[in-house]
Amino acid sequence: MAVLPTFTTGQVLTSAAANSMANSGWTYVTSVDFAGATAVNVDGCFTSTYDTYQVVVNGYRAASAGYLYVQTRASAVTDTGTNYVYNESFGSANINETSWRLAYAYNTTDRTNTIITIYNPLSTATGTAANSIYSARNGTAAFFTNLTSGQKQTQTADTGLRFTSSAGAVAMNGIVTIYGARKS
Amino acid sequence: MTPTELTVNVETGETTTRELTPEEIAELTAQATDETPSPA
Repeated sequence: MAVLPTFTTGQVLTSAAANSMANSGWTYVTSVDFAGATAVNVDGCFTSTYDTYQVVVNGYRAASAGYLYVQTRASAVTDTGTNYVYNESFGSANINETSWRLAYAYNTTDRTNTIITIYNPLSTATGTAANSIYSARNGTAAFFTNLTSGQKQTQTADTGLRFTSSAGAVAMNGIVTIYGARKS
Repeated sequence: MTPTELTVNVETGETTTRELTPEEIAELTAQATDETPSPA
């Protein structure tokens, strides 16, 4: 996509310039309201259009305290294998895991927000990677900030994500909005 | 309330919600952990 011109007074806005503006930077892909679901799948959000994505998690909370598990999906099938590795700022690497842990919520009222950056989900050369930094609060009893970085140990073309809680079959709330980064 | 799975398909625009089966609930329960993040 060509770089936008510097517009001048009275200039006619061309469709090419308008398209360039509409498709520049981070471009909206989809938004999902968890709405009390126990498991949330987002399929078809990763395509060859973009290599890098931002998954904005706004107001995540759950019926019981636990991590936000994130798994990849391909053709609407979740990768449940021990194909995930991640490291929290708190500790050592966790390898051969069945999901990433990219956020945490204590309860149904204290909200956790994060932007999960997803890299190269369709690449079968590098494998999908994810980074997240978030804070979690439990009223006045607890608060922490955590940086988590994860990668897939397998190189598969991932086209979607699945969200569940490490607390088990519990209701989750929050809104996830996904954006893709224009390549040029 | 019965646990549900929400699936959004970006390509088709379809959103579906279904109740999880007892087997799926058991799987989620089995993967549950009470581990809490804490600074080293």
